[in-house]
Amino acid sequence: MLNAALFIKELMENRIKFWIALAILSALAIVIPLLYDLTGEILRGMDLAPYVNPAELAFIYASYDNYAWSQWTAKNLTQLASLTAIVLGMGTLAGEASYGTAPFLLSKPLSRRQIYATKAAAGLFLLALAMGISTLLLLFVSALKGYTLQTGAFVVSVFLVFAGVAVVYLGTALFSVLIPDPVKAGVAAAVFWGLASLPGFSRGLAQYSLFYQMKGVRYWLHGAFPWPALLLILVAGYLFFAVGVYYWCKKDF
Amino acid sequence: MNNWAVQTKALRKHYGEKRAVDGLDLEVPAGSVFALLGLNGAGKSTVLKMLVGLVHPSGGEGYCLGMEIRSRGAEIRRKVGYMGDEPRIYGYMSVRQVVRFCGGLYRNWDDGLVEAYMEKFQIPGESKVHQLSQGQKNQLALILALAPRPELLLLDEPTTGFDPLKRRLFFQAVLQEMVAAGKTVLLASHNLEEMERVADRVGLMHKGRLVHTCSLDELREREKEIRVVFQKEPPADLFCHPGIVQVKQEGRAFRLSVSTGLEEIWQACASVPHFVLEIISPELEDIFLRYTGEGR
Repeated sequence: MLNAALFIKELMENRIKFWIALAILSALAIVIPLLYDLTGEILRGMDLAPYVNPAELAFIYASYDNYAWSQWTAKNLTQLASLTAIVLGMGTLAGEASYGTAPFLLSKPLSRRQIYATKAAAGLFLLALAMGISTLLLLFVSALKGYTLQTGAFVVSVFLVFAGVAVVYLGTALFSVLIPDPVKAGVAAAVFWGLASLPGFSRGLAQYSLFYQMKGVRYWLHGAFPWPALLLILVAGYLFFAVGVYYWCKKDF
Repeated sequence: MNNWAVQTKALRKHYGEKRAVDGLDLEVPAGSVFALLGLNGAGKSTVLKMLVGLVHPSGGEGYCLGMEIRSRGAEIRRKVGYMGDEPRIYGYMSVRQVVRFCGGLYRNWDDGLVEAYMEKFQIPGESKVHQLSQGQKNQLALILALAPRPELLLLDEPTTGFDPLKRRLFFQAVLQEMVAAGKTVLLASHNLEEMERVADRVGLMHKGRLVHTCSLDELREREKEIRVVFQKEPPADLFCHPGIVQVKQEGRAFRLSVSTGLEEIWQACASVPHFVLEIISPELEDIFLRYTGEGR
């Protein structure tokens, strides 16, 4: 189904975006453990109400586990990896159309489905790589600083973020098929995902937000693995993929 | 297996109201060099794009090497080389990287051929594709189309922007790799003079339709012109012969385009006092314009 030569070409084409994303994620992954003691001391000594919920602050600094999860998995990784997914996804197919290389690629002995699947796989691989390397870096720096972390649960929560980010990527790839200009496709996707994130800002509606579910809040707080949410995330990802393939296969170049 | 490398039956492509290709019945014999001629917008490029799967037909049937174009696209592309009009290749890649990428897509990639033609065309392997001239990009695209040793080569306006030397080298490569091996070449072009030198069969396209197809020799043999300069005004019924398809007049000088009955028309003209009476072979361009009605 996937084609190795095209996969490598996609990695090469997206290398600059990947390195930038990795650099930013890695910098944050290093900074988060380094700032644990310092921010803890400063914030605990300040009266931040009503801007910061004291209970929330107490939860974050109750353990290094909570701090690392809240600052990495539930915040920086979710936000930056989603942004990276949009940046990577917007050029997936619109790039071929806008730079005029689509006829060259499509005249090669690959089916359109194979092209779409390989491009999507390459994008998801780069996302997983950036998220994986930066998370490993965070675990490494945490260990160097002598902080203990529930590594298993932490990695599972990072996996949940990846599942959500994959949906963001596949949704953006669909925009990249529909709008043959990477920048316009990226803007449209950003607006779409921005609107999709709105329920997450309401306590009552938060559970209906992809971005809330991908943080694995219930899993981290109560240890219950969110199977239904993961299933829905996977179905959403597949639907975006299937609709994207459908329109890609119908296009003329 | 039939003898057609390409066969279409009532093939159509409509973009809304616009009929880019309108019921095309085309047969390209295996082993031929077939030139699809037409003005810009005649539908030639769309035909090639439908054959290789870039454009979806609106109706009709199409076969490449005996395979149906809608259902067996990837299989067709394995055996068919395609070079589009002013091909765009990944500019950020070096020439070698493009070659490696394309080589990874085919089972029967010929590295020897690539090396030989890169040297012949003087294409530097380490250069980025965006640094090449348009002519070099076209040459690279030809090498990439020839390297998998295709059974059929589709070329769309292949020598746009070429100088005469590059054009010559380009067609030498096509002739050596395809024609000498008995393979088929289908070219789309509006450059009649160029096609006259390389093609053995022509198809004249106009407004999405194939208006005429035959071998180039047949066309030249059948399509003749009589040039005659009369000493006085000729009789009015002289040009009523059904074999005369077009009459051009300048004073008492006439050019008669003749499709049938050449001998008879010649005799009729000879019976009128004249200064000059001769048979000439028209340029392919004139024949084309006559068939498409653009010359009137």
